[in-house]
Amino acid sequence: MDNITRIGIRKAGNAGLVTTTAAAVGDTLHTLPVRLAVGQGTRTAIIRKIMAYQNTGANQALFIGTRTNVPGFVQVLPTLIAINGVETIWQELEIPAFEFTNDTTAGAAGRTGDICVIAGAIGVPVAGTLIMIEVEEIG
Amino acid sequence: MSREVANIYDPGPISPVAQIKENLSIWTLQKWQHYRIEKCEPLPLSRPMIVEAITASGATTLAASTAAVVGTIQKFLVTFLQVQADDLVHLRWQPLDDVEGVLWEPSGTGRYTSLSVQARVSLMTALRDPYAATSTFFVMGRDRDMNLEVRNPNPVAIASARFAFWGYRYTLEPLDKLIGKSIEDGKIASTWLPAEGH
Repeated sequence: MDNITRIGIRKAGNAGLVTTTAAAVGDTLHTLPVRLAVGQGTRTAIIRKIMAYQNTGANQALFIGTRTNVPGFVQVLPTLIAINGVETIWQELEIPAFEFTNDTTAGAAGRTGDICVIAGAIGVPVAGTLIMIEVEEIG
Repeated sequence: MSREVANIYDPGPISPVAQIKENLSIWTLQKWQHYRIEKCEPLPLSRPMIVEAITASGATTLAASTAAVVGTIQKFLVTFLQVQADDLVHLRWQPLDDVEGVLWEPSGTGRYTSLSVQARVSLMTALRDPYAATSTFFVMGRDRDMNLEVRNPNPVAIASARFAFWGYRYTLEPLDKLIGKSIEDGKIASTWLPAEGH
């Protein structure tokens, strides 16, 4: 096998199909595995696909980030727009390969934790956007 | 004549470790025992060769793993891999769901071990080892069966934990002790392989 680059397994976000709520800390799209023993590696995850649809009457911004290990939501990807009444898909080539991790020794504070989403605006979430992600888990 | 070493862990597709009427020297019951292959037939990957560990073990789900608890199905006998006396099965395996398999053979002895850890077979295994060569194991004779324990690497419960097996079954004829001695002395060729962990 001549491909020795990092590769992982593809799977849907384990929260499944999520409908956003008005929760200020966002809604979980994918919960990361925890490290099970000190010194053993755990899995990380990179978002490879995002599908969203909403019909709230106005376009909605989508903020994707983390919240575990920090007091509140931290956005880590650029803001996306879910157009009202239109399904929207972002695929691998369009999504920065930000690597989400739950290993608190691996990243700076505020940059670790599960993958979450807020629709509308940070601080003023809007409920009702359907969203599902596909991740590549590594490790 | 020098001893032949079986390329039993070759990284390519699985193939028989030796041909019919060739000798086979097997590590079983804590010593080398010597046989001649009388028959060999394949066990292709197919639905009867897939175990669903959750239902096979009597569980209803594979619990989520958290920092405090690892979701586990305790080891159980995979009955369709049992063989008769003087039969040997040569297998590779992989999970079909995102779960990890821990191999025990016999039930009190872990396989794939180093001094301090026991490796597992997971979906990640096939990413670097597409033919599952490093999962190779053998079941020799009666009551030396493989037992399967299942771990959940995910923080969510899993509803299905399937593992697929494929390989070959060999029917063996024990060789008399004089021939076995000649094999061990390197005078007669044989293929050597370990069938158990201890």
